[in-house]
Formats: sequence, C-alpha cells, structure tokens
Amino acid sequence: MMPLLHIDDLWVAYNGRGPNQPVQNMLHGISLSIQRGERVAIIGESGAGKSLLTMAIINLLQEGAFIRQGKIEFEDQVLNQLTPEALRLIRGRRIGMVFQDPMTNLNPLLTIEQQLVQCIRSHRRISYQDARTIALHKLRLVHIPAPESRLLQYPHQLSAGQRQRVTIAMALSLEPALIIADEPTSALDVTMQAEIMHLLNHLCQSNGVALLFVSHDLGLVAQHTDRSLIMYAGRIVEDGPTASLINDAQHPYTQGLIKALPQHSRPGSRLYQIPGQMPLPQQVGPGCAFAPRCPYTTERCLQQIPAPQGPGGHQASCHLLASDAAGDSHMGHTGGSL
Amino acid sequence: MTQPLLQLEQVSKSFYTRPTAPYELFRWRRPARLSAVEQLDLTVYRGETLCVVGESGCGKSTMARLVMGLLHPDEGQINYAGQRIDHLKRHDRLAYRRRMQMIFQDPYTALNPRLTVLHCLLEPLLYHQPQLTEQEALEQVFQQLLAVGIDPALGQRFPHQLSSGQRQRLNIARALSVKPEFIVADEPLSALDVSIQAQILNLLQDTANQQNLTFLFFTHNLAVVEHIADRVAVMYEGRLCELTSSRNLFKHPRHPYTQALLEAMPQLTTSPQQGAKLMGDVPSRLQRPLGCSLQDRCPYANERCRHQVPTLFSHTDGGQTACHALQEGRIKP
Repeated sequence: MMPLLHIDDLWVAYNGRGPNQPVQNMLHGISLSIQRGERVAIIGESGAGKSLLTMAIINLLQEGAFIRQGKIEFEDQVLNQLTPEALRLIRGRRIGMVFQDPMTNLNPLLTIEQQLVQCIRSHRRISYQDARTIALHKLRLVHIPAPESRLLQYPHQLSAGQRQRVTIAMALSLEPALIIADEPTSALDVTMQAEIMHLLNHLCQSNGVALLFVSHDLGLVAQHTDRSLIMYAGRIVEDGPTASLINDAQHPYTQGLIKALPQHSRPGSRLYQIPGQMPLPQQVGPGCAFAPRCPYTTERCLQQIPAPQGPGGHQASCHLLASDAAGDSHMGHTGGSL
Repeated sequence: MTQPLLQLEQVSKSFYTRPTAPYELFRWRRPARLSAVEQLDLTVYRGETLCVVGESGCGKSTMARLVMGLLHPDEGQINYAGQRIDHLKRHDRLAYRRRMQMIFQDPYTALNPRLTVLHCLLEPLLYHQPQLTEQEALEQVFQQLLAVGIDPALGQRFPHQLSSGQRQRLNIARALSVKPEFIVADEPLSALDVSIQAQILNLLQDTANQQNLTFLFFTHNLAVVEHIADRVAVMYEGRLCELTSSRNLFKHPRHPYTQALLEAMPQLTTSPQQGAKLMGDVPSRLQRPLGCSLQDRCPYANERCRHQVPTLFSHTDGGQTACHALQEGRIKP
C-alpha cells in the first residue's frame, strides 16, 4: 500500500548571510513515511529541526530556507514541485495544521464563526449557512460548551484550552487526511494538556486521520502514538514503534533521553545526564552528530555518518549496532530498568 | 528539619485591573480585583525542600515574590527565622537579601546582558561584602564557577554567548555566591530542554545537600516534584488544596484536584491512561465564585462547596487538605 506521506532524503538549507557565506544545511537527509490513519511522533530538543521539517512538508519555509534536495510525496503528488495554487488546494483541505500557540494562530479581529466559515468556504463551494452548520458540528466534536454562543465570540474571549479546541476544530473542518500538530499543548497547563491530547487522539482515530505529532516530551507522546521518530541536530536517529522505542531504545541518544527523565529514577537519587549540549544542525561535523556527547564513541563515529540499522520497523542510526558483537557488550539494556 | 525558617500567616495579595486602552480612561468603571494569593498559611522548615505545584495563574509566582519581598502582602504577615519581614524598609531588607536568594524562570532575561559572567558574579558579592578585596572576591567567583560546572575561561563572555544550560548555571552561581541559607526557585527548569533539565536538577540537588540549603521550589512539573521534594503544597486559584509529604502525595493523593493533576501527568508507559479527570476550564480570576474555587470542575461538589470556602484540616498522617467532601467523608480519604 502506498504510504500517505513519503519523504525521501530531504535536505533543507538556509542561504548564507553574506554573499560569500556558504549555504547552511539544517535538515540532513530526512526520510520517513506515514501510512493512512497512523499516528507518528517527532521528538527532539529545541533546535533539532522538528518545526522546520513540518514547515518543509507544507512548503511554508521562511525566507532564506529552501529544499535543497529530496522529494515529499503526498497522495500521489510531489508537494515540493507543486505550483503555489496547487499547494493551496492541499494545505488546509488535505493537510490540517494545529500550531503551538492558539492565540497567535487565530485572527484576533474575526469571530470564531467568521474564521471557521471562511476556512471552509475558501475550499468548498457551499453556502454560508451550510458552512456554519459544519462549523457548529465541528465545535461540538471538540467539546466546546454552548457552541452557538461561542461562534459569535472573538478569540480573546475564550480560554487558552478552548482556543486550542477551536484550532483543532478548524483543522478538522475540511476532513483532511493528515493533521500536523506542532507542539499543540506546550502553551497549555497539565490538566488541559491531557484533555487536548486525548481529544486530538480520539478524533483522529475515529475519523481515520493520520497524525504527525511534534513534541519535545517523550512521556507525552508515549500513549498517543503508534510510531516515534527521534530527531537530533537535523537528522532522524531512531525510528520505531513507540512501545518498542521506549522499552528497548537502540540509539545512545534515545537511551539517554529516557534515562534523564525524573519519572524513572528513585526520588532523591542523581539523574542520568547527557554531558554537553546539542550542536546546531549547521555545525555538525563529518561523522555522527551525537558522537561528541556519546559514551560509546569510536574513531569511526567521528568520521562516517551511520546508516539506519535494525530489524523491520525499528531502526536506529548508530555504528555500534552494525558491529553487533561490540554493540551488545557496550550498550546497556535500558529495557529491563524501565 | 523541625525548626521553622519561613512562616506565612494568612497572607493575601490582590491586584487591580488597569485601563488597557486610552478610551477606557473615559469610561467610568470600577477596577476589577484579582486576588492572586488568598489567606495562605505555610511553614517552611530549615533544611527541607518544599515544592509548590500548580497550574499557570494559580499564584505561584506571586507567592515567590511575596516571600522575596519583591511584593508586599495586603494582609497577613511573613516571618523569617522568627522576625517579621514583610513591609521592611529597603535598608532593613538588605540583611535578608543575603540570606535568601532567588533563581528565576527564564535564564536569559534574569541576567544583565551588559555584564560579563565575572561581573555578574562579582557585583552581588562586593555589594553584600564590601570589605572583600578584589583578589579575594575573584577567587570566590572562580570557585563558584567551578562548583556549578562553568569553565572559568568563559568569564569574559556575555550572557548571549552562553547556551541556555550555562545561563541557568550562571543564575544558580549568582544566587549561591553570597552564601545564602534559603533559595526560592521559580520554575528554574521550564525554559530548558530535557537533557539540560537533568543536568540542572542534579546541580541543584548537589548544592542543596552540600550546603544544607532550604529550598522553596515552584514548579508545574510533577515528575520533578517527586524527584526532589520533601513536602509538597498543591495550589489552585491562590489557595492551598493539599499540603503533605512528597511520598504520601504520590502514593495516596487525597484532594480531587491533586488526583486530577497526578492523572494528567504524562507517564512513560504505552498503556492507555484514563482521560482527564477534571472537565472544563480554570474559572476567570476576576469573577471568583463563592465557595471552593474547584466547584465547577469537581465531580464531588455539592451545595456547601458552592457557598463556603474550605479551610485546611489535618489528617492523622500529618497531611493537610482543604476540601469539604474529604472532611465530611463524602470521598474516602
């Protein structure tokens, strides 16, 4: 079966600041595919290139950034070769977006009704009344109390959680095949976060919508996604089913991330810490990006970029996994302790 | 542990809305009152780490500022080591500034962008101990930098040349440089990435253990709380809901709000969790309902909850909760 979204060897770069400045690579050969109805998480620290990747998918890169190489296929179309007009038919209609900050995402000068109806009518030729009915229905779906009166209100009159629900309603209003949610809960509180995650997850599952979920929090996505991708400095270092990735992480970076969470150490004990910090994607050396912080670094790691290894659906990019004998003895098993 | 260091007694603080646009000046309207902290009773004992948990807007930062004397309470009093410290004159406050220090949330805005790392640490040191010679002060600064894991070779750098982890280390070094006994930390981890969070958390714990510091730690991250806290105070809408030892709180949460918070905490398991326990939104602070602030979101709310504000009462194990349903036995404790 053809995947819904397939990205093949995507390189995104920024133009150099001056005339003689070299081009800076931000994404280094990203490959991924999402099946219909699948829920996928992209996890990484800030600056790893998560948001850049989502923006590249819908071709909303900011000025100076461009797709250097690679192909983004979505429903038999190559997104990065489409004209702006053709792209506009896909954005919103086939691919819905939920952004981080619901306040800056909604237009403060329009009522909720105007925004939702505008969004629906710009893609479908239907009457205002019909569009309003759809909008009302979507608002009910996201559990907004008293949706009729909410339609007449402006974004600032809603609470942060309700605003995010409206964005989700808007993303769902045209029945897209894929929803990209870029840190949809980081502006929200813990109790609201749980509710929004639950809602987003439930709606995508019941409507068969694929979900690409971007987050920095492994714990948050653990229960809500089928597959997770770990990004580090512009590369995907591990890709696997969420359960197997958490219980049996293969890449040293993933192992470190999981061990560093306070949830998994005894209260009061010292936490595992990954020394140093993530390099900027444009400053990565010739070898593995994680090599300077990795406890198992060898000469080869500094020289050569590792290729994804591993059985079936769970792959990690690490040299230690290739030389299996050495790999087994070096890499501790995190699975048991979790 | 038994000696109280900081005591808040019935502390309240309110803010008033101001006209936000010029035309509002011409419309007569009574300023609305937002009560940020209401009749708060809390004691911090010497040598313990007390975590205050709550959602954004529940009054955590106001409380931190009240303790540090950056705000003055409207009612109630704050005692530190037996002395009353609210409404102190600037000069009298100085002695306490040295004994209590604060670590702020955003490591970048808390640093002066025009001071180098060295100057940033020298300034408080020389201000509080003017008798030090420059040589002695510099030596102390270098020691402090090494203690928090910053290479002293970075001494001539400005904050914008440091990474966020290094900046937060510098903030911690600055707070520790005057050798305080009490540290107020207002969300010191929330601006940091996961792998850096672990580094900073370890550093805070090490310093607390080595120097026998007392910590008042404000956060919304329950995993961090479970890791470092001796006792936990849960706040909702400016009031305390539950105050108990960390172990009891996580093993046996009593208050409906605490239970919902723990339920909402992201777990690193793939087994499905129940949905959120609380429905609805945090009520507007400007139109606070009578009675318990949780009444609209609480499944146990009854007529009494809508009219009477619950006060803290003690359980047999020393934990305290403010909930009518618990007190009347409508919820099994």
